[in-house]
Amino acid sequence: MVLGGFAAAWLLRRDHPTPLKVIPYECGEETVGRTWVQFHIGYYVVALVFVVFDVEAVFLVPWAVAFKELGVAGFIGMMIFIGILLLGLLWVWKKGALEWL
Amino acid sequence: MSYAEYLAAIGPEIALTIAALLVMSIDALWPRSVRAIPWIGIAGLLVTLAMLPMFRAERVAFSGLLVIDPLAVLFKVIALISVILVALLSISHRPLRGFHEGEYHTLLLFFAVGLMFLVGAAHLLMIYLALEMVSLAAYLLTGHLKLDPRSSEAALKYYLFGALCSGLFLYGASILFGLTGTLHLDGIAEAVRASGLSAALLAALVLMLIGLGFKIAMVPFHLWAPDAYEGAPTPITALLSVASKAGGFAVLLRVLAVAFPLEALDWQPMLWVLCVVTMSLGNVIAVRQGNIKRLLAYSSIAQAGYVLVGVVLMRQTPAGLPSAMIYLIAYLFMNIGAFAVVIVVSNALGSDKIEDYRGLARRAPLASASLAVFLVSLTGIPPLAGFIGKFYLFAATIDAHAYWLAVIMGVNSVVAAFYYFRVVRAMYLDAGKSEEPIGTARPLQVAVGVTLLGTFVIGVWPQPFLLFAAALPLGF
Repeated sequence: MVLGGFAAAWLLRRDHPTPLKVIPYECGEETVGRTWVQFHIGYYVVALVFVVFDVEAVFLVPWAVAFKELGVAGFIGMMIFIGILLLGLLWVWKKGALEWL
Repeated sequence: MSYAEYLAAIGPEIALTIAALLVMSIDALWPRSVRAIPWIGIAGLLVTLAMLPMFRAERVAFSGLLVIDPLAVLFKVIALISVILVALLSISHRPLRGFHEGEYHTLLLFFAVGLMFLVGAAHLLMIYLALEMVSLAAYLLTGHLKLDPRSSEAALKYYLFGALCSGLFLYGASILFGLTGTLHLDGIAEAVRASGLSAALLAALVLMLIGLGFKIAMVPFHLWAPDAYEGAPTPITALLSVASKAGGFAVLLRVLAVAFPLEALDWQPMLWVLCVVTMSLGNVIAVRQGNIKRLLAYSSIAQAGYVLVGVVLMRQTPAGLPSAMIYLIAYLFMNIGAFAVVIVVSNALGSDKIEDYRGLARRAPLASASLAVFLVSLTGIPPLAGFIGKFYLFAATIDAHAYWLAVIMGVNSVVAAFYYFRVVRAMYLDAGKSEEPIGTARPLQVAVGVTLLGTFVIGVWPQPFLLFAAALPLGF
């Protein structure tokens, strides 16, 4: 079954490697130094929390742009959204996931 | 419709979300009140259940993302009852006691919220979002006992398999979007009717069937089920085998009935094969299991096969869909009941091996009798719920002249009787090593009582359930 998957992919795909395509990640920075260094496990939790609020910003921008058109309902809706996320932050904080070491 | 009216349409979901957030906050802010958390969660679920009759008016909300129709309401009731029972089981399951209970019950509530959105979703994006919400909570709950390697292994296998299958589902959904230009299920149906059958449409159907087949543990996408069921905390095994499956069936029904009209693409032969394979393989492998959780895992694969009989026939006879729904309701009570007794035994013996069930009837007469009732009901013997469910499935097959399906189902029931009765024999006829009585915690007594009541009521007095299920409109 696994080999079948490989075979199907090999038959179907187009193979055009370009310099940009063969780098390990298509986004993000090029690594500096050895890539086998170990990260502290706490890093992942902080990174996850960061991503949550990063995505929140993505939702906040269109809301801010259309703030006048959306009116009171939009404002209340967004406050509830932010409130839920803050509750999540509070939970992470109280659970001690933000303590560094 | 205005924004406020949309919100009014999802009142029960909002109430449950508030309950989940409340439980989460209490867990973080007042860690000492941890013993109250499960009860607050159960109270939230009960309030939501009580709200459902007030919010059952048929409507389409959020520009067609969600629909509230009899099918969705019925599935919401199934979902909430099963999550309530699972919460009761969790309170007394020994390995879970005092082990991050706040997080556990928060996840359980969010699982229920996801499930409620899932069964009403009428838009592929909404289906996917709700499916992921349910799945993510389920992965985490499966791996909740992180200090037990088997629990982590189960979660990892479940997660990897689930990630693959939801990827395939998305692939199918995107092909469907490419073909039809819309993500609304009824819009897809119109476009498919106009364009007719094509290879891409078939590919979309197969890929989406894989994604949903994973959720209901349909063969050949069942490989995760036995390992995940065995390693997960037992209440979560009950949750995966009932609530998660019911959610999968809700989406499967909606996608097949609404988005793929038979005149464009006849999916019945394909589903017929999957249904037959699912019940046969589940039953045959269950015969050789020595662990009760694995046995119930394979049995639940087979049971999903029986429900699929009703789904296969839903376009051929008006009895198809109601019979599948009745079987699901019966299955909810008997399967959760069986797991409740498994928890009683594992609390006392710390084991899930069937050989340790020997002589159980002397040590725990009531629990053994209950387990015997549930297993007999799963076999399909009157006057219990499982019999009524099977009876209507058989009636549907006869009505649709699908005699082969009836024969295969009959043979399967006989095979199933063999392994269900093996457990009953171990409890009643074999001599055990010890005579020491086994006690049952109060929440477990309640759960066993409720499931026993459900099993008997559906078996003896099925008319109200039949009337309700028969009122389900076929085309939704």
